[in-house]
Amino acid sequence: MDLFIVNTLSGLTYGMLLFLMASGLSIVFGLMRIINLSHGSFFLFGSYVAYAMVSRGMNFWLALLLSTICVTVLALLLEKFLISRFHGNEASQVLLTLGLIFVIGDITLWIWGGDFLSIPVPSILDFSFAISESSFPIYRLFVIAIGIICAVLLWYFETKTKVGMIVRAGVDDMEMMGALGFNIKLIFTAVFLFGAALAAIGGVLSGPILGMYPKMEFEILVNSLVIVLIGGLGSWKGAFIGAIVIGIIDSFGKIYLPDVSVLLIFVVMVIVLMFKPTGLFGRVES
Amino acid sequence: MKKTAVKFFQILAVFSLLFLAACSGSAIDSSTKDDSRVSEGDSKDPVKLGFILSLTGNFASMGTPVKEGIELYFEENPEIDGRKVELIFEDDAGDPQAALRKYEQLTLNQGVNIVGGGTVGSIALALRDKVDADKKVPLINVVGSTDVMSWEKKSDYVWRTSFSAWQYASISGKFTAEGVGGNAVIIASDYVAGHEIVTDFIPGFEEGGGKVSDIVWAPLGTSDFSSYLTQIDNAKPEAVFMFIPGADGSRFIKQYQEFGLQDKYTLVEGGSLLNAPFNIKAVGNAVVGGKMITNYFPELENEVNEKFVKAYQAKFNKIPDNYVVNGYDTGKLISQVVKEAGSLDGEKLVSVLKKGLTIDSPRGPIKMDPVTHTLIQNMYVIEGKETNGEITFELIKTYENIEMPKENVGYKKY
Repeated sequence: MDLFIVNTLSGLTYGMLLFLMASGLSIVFGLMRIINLSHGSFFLFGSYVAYAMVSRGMNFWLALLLSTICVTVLALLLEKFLISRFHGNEASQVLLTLGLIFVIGDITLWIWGGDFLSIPVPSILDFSFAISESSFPIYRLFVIAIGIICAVLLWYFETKTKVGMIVRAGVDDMEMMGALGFNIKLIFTAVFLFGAALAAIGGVLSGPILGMYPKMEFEILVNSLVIVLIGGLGSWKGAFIGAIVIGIIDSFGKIYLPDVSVLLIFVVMVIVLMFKPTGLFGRVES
Repeated sequence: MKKTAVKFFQILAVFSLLFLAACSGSAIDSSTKDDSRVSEGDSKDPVKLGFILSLTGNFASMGTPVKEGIELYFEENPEIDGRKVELIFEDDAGDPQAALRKYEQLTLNQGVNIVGGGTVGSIALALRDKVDADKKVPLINVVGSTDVMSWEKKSDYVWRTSFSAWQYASISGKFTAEGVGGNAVIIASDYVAGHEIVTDFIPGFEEGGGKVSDIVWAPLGTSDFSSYLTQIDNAKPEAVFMFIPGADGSRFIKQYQEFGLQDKYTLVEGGSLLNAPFNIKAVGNAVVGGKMITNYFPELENEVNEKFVKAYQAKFNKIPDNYVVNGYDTGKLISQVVKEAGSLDGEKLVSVLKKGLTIDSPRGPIKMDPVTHTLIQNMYVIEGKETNGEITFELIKTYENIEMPKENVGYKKY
């Protein structure tokens, strides 16, 4: 039984890290119709910047805040000067963001080198609690909590606030929103930055668990894209459910089906897409 | 219109996914050429040495220190027997095919006298086949640890200055049974070297009275080991033997500590991954209490090593690991062989190697075994300690003059 609980919690931890990444990816797609592949770089860059700060003695929480701001600034520059130039030209955007992920990856490699790095667990969360005979680190529980808090905030933001309403409307009909006098460009940028900030938070939080190493952005991006496809493009709720599903499958797959554990998430993706081609929460608009 | 747009994006997303999945696995770094040459002398023919190392890509953390070791040795000894030494470094980026191309380039265009390289087993084997077929220049294998290089794949022209999987793993097994406990869980990376290490570990461990309660295979590139950790915790072993190379290994040890297993079960690591400086930096006090089997560690007390560590620190401003020593010893071996042969002819060089040479290495005295073409060397068991926030390694046991079996021992494969 304790094995079951510990594995479920580990799965949720990984799932929540993926959710922070995938939700932004999904929202940005929903509004802007961009599959922003450089979203993986935001995750990577966030964790490396936080590492740079923490390794110089900065407090973890301050580093979390500052690196999120750094990534948001980076995202702003990318959006303003590069991505927005290709608005409406989807194929170019995908290629551009694919190029960016390599460029940013190389820059981080150049600055921080190729060695494995990791951020120490903040001391306040650096202990485990016992689940009968096993134990589970508090820090991972904290990550799960952050994921759930983000999901609740997203829900509140989307359904209860005016800005959320505008964004929802924008997803449905961009041109009409523009015609009604809303500043579409501003909304775009805001949502893009919000997504980047979520990815950065995910990146920093993953620092003590997964560590940082070159090409990690691809690993996390592939899993996030799977989640986005399972959940349905453009829906953060789908990303939430998808992330939980993938996290749990990853965790239990490693124990019960070790030989195919790597493939398992793709198998699940294929099965979901076979029966629901738009993903679990994807909407088919008329 | 909208519906088709969404469809289009889904297809696009699936394609990008496939593309990324393909990319993320393989090394996509472009290879950078790194030539450093020493100017030619004119009294006698210069000694041209070509090294094919993985200087970028997944295995750069092994190839780069080897290069540093070689550079250090030839900076200290720029001449062999009055001949200038010319070093040429080529990068294979972890790809055996690229290594073969570089080999052609070095032997045909550059006319090197001796080749060094083989940062991982697959590259070492690919080079070995080519060198053995050509029978022109000797190959000094610097890292590749696969056992068959000493047995079926032994070649007159191929000699290794590193170590074999058997040397590490059988001693790891022996030590675990003697020094830690009779009940162990093994966790290893699911690839060729991982299987080889496990195959060599188990007989040594069982001979000492040990019993393996579980073997866990983790795919290369595993980032979250928590499921495996609960599996280990469930088996309640006395010892956990791990062979997980590179960044995966660092992550595993961090998480091992995080889940509280560090205090419960003794970790034994056979593969000399933990005492590498970059790993210690990353895992910090997670190595405390862990036992590691290695052929070199920087705190080793002997005169050669003290000088070596100082020289390396002065040049590179960091602490050397066993890969640096492999490179350094490669330089020393080559220099002795050329000196004794008095010639750069491949056949003459090989005949000197066949006599068996003894070298004073930072890892202690080592001897090239003319039968197995692998060094006879000491294996050290070291333990991670923390004093005043500094991580150090303390020698707890030495296994002296570990010699490869002369022929394939034919263990059961795992």
